[in-house]
Amino acid sequence: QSVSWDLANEYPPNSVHAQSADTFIAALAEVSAGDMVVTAHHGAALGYKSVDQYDAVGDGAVDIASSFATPWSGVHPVFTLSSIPFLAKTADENRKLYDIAKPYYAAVLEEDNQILLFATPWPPSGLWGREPLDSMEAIAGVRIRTYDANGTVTFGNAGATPIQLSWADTVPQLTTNGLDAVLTSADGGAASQLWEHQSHFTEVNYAMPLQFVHINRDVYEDLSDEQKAWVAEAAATAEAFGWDLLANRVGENYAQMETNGMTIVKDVSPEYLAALATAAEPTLVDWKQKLGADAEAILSAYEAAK
Amino acid sequence: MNTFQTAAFGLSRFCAALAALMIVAMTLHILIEIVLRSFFATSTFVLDEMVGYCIAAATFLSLGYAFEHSSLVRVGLLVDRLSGRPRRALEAFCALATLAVMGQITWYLINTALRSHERGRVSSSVAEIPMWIPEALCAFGLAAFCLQVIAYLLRQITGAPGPVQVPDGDLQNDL
Amino acid sequence: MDPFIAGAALTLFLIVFLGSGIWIFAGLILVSVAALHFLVGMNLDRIGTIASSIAYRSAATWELAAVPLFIWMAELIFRTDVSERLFRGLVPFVDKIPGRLLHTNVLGCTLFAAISGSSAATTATVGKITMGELSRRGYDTKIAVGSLAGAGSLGLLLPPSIAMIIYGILAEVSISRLFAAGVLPGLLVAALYSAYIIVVALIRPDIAPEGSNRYRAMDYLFALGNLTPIMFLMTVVLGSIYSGIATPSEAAAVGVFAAVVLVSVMGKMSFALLRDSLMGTVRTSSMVCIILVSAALLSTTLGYLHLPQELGAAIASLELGPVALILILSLFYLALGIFVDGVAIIVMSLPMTLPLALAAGYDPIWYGVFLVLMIEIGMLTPPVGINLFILQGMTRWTLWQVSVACFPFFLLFSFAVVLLVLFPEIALWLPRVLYG
Ligand code: NA
Ligand code: NA
Repeated sequence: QSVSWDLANEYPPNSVHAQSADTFIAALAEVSAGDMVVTAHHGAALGYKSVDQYDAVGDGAVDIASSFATPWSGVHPVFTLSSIPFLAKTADENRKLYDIAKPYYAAVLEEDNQILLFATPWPPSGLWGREPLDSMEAIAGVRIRTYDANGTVTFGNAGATPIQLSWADTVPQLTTNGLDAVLTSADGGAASQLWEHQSHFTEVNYAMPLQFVHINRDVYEDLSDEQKAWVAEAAATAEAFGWDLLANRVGENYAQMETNGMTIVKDVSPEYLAALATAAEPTLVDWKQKLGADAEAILSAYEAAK
Repeated sequence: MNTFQTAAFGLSRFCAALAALMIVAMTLHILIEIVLRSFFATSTFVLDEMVGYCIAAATFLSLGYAFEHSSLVRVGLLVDRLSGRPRRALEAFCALATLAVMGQITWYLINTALRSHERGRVSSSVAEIPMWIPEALCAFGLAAFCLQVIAYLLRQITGAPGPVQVPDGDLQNDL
Repeated sequence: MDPFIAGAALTLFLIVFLGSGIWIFAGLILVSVAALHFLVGMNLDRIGTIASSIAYRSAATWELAAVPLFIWMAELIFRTDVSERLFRGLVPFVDKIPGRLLHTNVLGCTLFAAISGSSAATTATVGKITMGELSRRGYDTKIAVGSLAGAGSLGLLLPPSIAMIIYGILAEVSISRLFAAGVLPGLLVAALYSAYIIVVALIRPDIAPEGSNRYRAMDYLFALGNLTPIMFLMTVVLGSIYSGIATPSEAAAVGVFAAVVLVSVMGKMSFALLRDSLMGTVRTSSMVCIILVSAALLSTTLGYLHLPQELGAAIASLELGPVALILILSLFYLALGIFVDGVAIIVMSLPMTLPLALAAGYDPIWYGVFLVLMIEIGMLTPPVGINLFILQGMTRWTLWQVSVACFPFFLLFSFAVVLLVLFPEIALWLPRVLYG
């Protein structure tokens, strides 16, 4: 055994990204025949959150990390691309957008002394609530917990009351009706058993933001060419796993949610989705303005590929 | 020498006053948030973020002041049995060891703040707070603490008395 | 590295650095730096990067804010006569109970645990209100100190609880059920403590001053009047949580607000009071928070050492039956609790131990309660125990004296774990009744 790395990840061991990271670790151990060992620290066990992992990896505090890209918006605007609401509406579109933007992500990371190994998407966020949230009338005034600045803007414009709470405070607030709804994926809500306080999940495919697995550049450059090839092979395996996982996972989550008395509201009206997309428009405008010329290049390539 | 002692403790007290203001600010922000949410169906959207900065800054800014008031606990097993020169030598060693690790953390945090400033890093919330501000506040508090430890170290060498007389006794109720 | 050698080396570092009298927070950071350098083999540049980023991250935490805010609330109460009134109010009611006011720490922590999600905040706040009064009235300080450190940890067992929220998120179980599951074990621990105080008071009546035995109806009425201010405070804070107006994390600010209102109504408000209470808060909360920050770095260090992973793997390889497994896990957490405090233990060990416990047939809700009990025990074991440090700061005793005073309560807590293992229904009954 010549390589021993520590991998930091903020999310629990059963989450989709922990499973993708574990797949990477297992694949790497296998192709290298035990030469490259990675120890996973899921659930923020090393003390780092996604937002810290950018510098932690760049500075070499941890060798490798799996990080939610959205909190990196303050590092570089390119990282919020995948969290712009309603830009990619299907898994297929999401993948196309990722393939186009990947060189841009990698370039920014490279400037900060790290290498992008692969990225996997979060399951699409939807609306957990006490009733179907399937029209602009239905979401008017609803107090909804959002997870990023884009959500605050979008649902504020849509006439709801976006609320910023830590995830730890979210469940207690649902219990006491201090909160009506939560913007999160079927998977995220199921992990916290939100069906105990909510009855409906409205599928709006708000966004499928990305999770990056990135490695310190010095650590990477120290590898032999053979080891680099193993890393690339394991990354490809884990990336394919993470994207495939999504389709099955949503179905599994829906089945589990229905068992627990949830109603899944699918196929909401195109008018409603269009109205939500309109509410989200300022986030795209803002993003384009921050990123400049690259934004135009990415978006026009995306429009062409779609 | 005396001027340095006075200046170091003066800086610690100034930082402690800043820390107190942070605690007041935290309280007010939470109360405002509760009122906004309950009665006006809106929010400041940055509560956990701002409170996080305040509590970090308050913790580091108050270190020097708490240190001089002997509020930072230690194991007295050995220290309390010594007096005179041996005691001062051991105290000097403790101060040096503390200075070494806290100096290291201070140095790296200063560099983090400088980098955040240089690269224009901001937070991910709607407020987009420049990250160097809370980082620099914490680094400032830590630097003031290091200065206070240096002052303490010098007093061990010279045998001068400290600025705060902590009475001995059973229950201080310092807590 | 062999986990047992790493553990032995860590213990040695702790004894040398803390024993030489270095301030505890700095000592814990030194232990981390030494372990990362000598045991993991990192260079000082990498260690500096890790230490500064973990120190900043763990300090800039929203949940930590409850510590200074609750302490400020206590400072306001402690500097007026609310705490004195509380005791005058309680005296007639506890007069017939052996140990009398010595039960206030247990009762106070049980009540306060209902509004605070953290043990450090509970211990510091209740201690600030009760300890001075108890020693002034001639109660045995040793048993007062022990009961406070022991009961302070109820902050995590009774809802709301930061530890249970973290466990719920990681283990993917219902936080509401976990909260319910903690109630009876929490009350059980409180009852064990009170029973112990009664037994000791019967054997050694000198631990409490003489009672008066001559209370009439009017005295009880007056006493109730004296209890109104503290009742007002509790009602406002509890009400704000359970009406959904404030989250458990925000409740501390509501507590400060209620204390300010109370002090103003009583005509005691002044600039000097605000200033003195704030400067007192700054001193205490700085001590508590910086120890929590340095403990976070130590837990990061254990992570880099892979200590929890390797011990977990070692336990898994034994392939034990359910009873033997829980016994070994108890010892594992007892050992881990020596070095690490609080929720960090859950975060670092759960991925290893939860699958083992589930495979052995334990209910995840029950295991959450078990885990919270184990980390509370860890807060009472030297050399790293936040409740011990808080009491040490309050009494200016040595860590050894505080640990000795806490020892009976440590044993009682361990007994509660044994009861929980023998009778799992203590934890599981209430959530089933409430949620089916
Ligand atoms: Na509690
Ligand atoms: Na301990």
